[in-house]
Amino acid sequence: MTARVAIGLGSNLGKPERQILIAVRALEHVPGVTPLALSSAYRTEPIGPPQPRYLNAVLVVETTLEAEALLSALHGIEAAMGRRRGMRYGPRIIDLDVLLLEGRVIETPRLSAPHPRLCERAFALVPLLEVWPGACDPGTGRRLADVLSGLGDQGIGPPRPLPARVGRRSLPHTADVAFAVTGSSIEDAMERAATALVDLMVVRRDVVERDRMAIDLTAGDHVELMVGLLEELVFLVDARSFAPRRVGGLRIDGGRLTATVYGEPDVRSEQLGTRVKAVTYHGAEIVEARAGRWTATVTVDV
Amino acid sequence: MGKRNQKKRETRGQRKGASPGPPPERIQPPPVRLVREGTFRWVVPRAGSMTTTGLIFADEHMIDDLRRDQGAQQVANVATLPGIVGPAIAMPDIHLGYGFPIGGVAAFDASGGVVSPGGIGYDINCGVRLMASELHADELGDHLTPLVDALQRAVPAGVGSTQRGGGVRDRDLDTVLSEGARAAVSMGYGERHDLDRIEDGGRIADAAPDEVSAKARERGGPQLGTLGSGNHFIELQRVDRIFDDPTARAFGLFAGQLVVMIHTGSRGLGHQVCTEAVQLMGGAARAAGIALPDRQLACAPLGSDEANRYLGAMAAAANFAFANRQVIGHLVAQAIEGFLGLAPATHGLRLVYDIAHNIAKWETHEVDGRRRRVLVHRKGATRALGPGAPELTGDLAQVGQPVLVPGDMGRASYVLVGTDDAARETFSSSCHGAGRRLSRSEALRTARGRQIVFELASKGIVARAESHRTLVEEMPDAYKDIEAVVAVICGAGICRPVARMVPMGVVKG
Repeated sequence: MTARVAIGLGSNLGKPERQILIAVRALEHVPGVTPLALSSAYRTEPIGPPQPRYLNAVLVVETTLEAEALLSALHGIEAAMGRRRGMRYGPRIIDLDVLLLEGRVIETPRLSAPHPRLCERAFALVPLLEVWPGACDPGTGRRLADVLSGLGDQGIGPPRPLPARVGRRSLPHTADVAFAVTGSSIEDAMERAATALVDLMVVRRDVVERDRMAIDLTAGDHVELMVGLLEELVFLVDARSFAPRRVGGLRIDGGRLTATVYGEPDVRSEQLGTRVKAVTYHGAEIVEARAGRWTATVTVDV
Repeated sequence: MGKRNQKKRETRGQRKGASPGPPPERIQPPPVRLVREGTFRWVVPRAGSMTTTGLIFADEHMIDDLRRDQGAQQVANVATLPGIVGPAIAMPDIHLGYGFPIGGVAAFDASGGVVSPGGIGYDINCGVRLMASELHADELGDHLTPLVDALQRAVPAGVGSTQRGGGVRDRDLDTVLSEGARAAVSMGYGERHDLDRIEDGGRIADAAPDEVSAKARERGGPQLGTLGSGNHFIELQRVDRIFDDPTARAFGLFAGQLVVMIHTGSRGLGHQVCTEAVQLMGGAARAAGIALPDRQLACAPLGSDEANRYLGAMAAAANFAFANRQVIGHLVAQAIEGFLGLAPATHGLRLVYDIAHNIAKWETHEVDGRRRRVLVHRKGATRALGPGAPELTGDLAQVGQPVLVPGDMGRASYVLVGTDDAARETFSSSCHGAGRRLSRSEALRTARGRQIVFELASKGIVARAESHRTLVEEMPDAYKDIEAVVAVICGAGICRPVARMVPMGVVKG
């Protein structure tokens, strides 16, 4: 059973951007944790005693760990990075928080999720929504985007892209939506690119897997195969009213790609997100950055 | 969770025209410098693999913005394509596209040139239509809000919207694809005289409906007569100012008038045609030995089988879009006339003009003192014919072609008229709108804590949308200031201002 979790990262000591990147790299190496998307970093004013400004970001991961085990892993990383737990709201080299678990409310002595103050903090909500736009408060069912629009401007700085290709990342593009994903194999990276696109087109948590569509296509190279796969998803939504949830069983054999799209037919309007016109070749890329680490970049026209 | 209902279905998978083999050869994008050559003219000098210069119309602020993104690089990339005639041009509403910049114009020689689907865009013949009433906007009074609601009900909009009754039958779809707005008129949408006020009479010749795939038909057929989402809109406007009274009168415009503007295109049908063509052209460019700085610039030599097939499909999709705006225009006119109790024949809405801003067309232009037949790509740019242009007929022949420039939903829109300078400098082309300044996600972020609907309401503008998110993504601050764009285009002599309109009510998808 995998769960999607948003982890808040904050730092205001020792080159905060560097500390955040160190923590992200550490999280990538926790067994059972797969980073999906890293937000931009946002500079925010500190709460509590006088201290340097914070840099905040959110990493969304998929994990097979129990929530408490994930929390222990976060505490382990904090300790390894030299964090000493002391003054409440005091300065810190790194702060890792479980902000949100998809669809679950947790209340134990060690852990409360969603984070008790998540809905009051624009510095947590803004980066979270950047990489998880459809996120909801599992307790109330409210969309966090709506929660954020009710909060005032809390003095957050502009987004600063982090120099790391971690999981999935939104890239700036004036007309369109662009994202980058990483995977352990070319098939994994393509499935993740598909998930990123599905997340844009539908509210994934509202889609159940009770039907499937087979995809079978041939093309000249890997980029064409990836763009072709994503175009099939756009077609399924726009022409067939099929709501995808995920792509699985993806196989590449030379110039041929086969995969299965899981989801439900007769998409309802409330399940739909952004309407995507097309998947472009502009900057489209799928490469093995280093052994066992594939990165894919895609721009879609919306 | 209902797994027992699982069925397995095949989606058609063969990537048409994609022959296995290496991708198109890549070349380095050329280096970019911007050299000012006049108040509103900036040149990108030839460098690297560019075969011509770039020419950008902009003011200093726009150039500052442009230096921060890749827009000028995209102009330079277009200048590397084979057979480009004249400079690679960008209008003041330029912003980052994919492959070609949005706000781009490029002409290619019939021999040695290319067609690039990315130079037209996914929304083939996305365009704007302006219709004028005989009423003063003030006469609406308290009826504005219910009228906007009536418009929202009249035209299906939003994500994946389809026309009630499922659109047109496949046989009728063939007629739409070959006859454009004419087909819509013969199906009972609007009047024959509307066609005189549509670019190219609402029909691009040489359409090849057979080249529109089954997937494109399946995707777009049910969407005829629908607005779509994103930046598409129906907007009630008041003519706020007239700059050129004789021309305005010839166009049918007067100060204080209630007019309605519609912005939409070829919906899923056009998107699918372009999607398949970009794929096809990847192989074509490879086969023709064309090296590209960006794969989205995939293109085929004019005269090749791939080029002919795409041009036929593109013309058919353009006709679909002309028909779509004709159908929507009729639905809108019916709603307004019905609501206000106007007799359609005598006091109904009249079409001012309907233009395309994502299209490629065969045109004859004077280049280096010689008349040449060229394929002009306009992506986020409109045609702008001056008085006396042979393509103009009827009452427009003497005054020139209306150029419709929609702004954002909070500020203003313009009607301009083309000039002879446009013919000389830009292959008779002008800007198409304000141009985006913020990406959609930046807009969502900047707008946190704001209520766009109330902000617009406080300016007296009634806004309706299928989704709140669309309104935020499309909020006024997400766009450049239309006044600056119009100041550049008119300052450079490409158009003259005729009328300025301000928004009263807007329906977004």
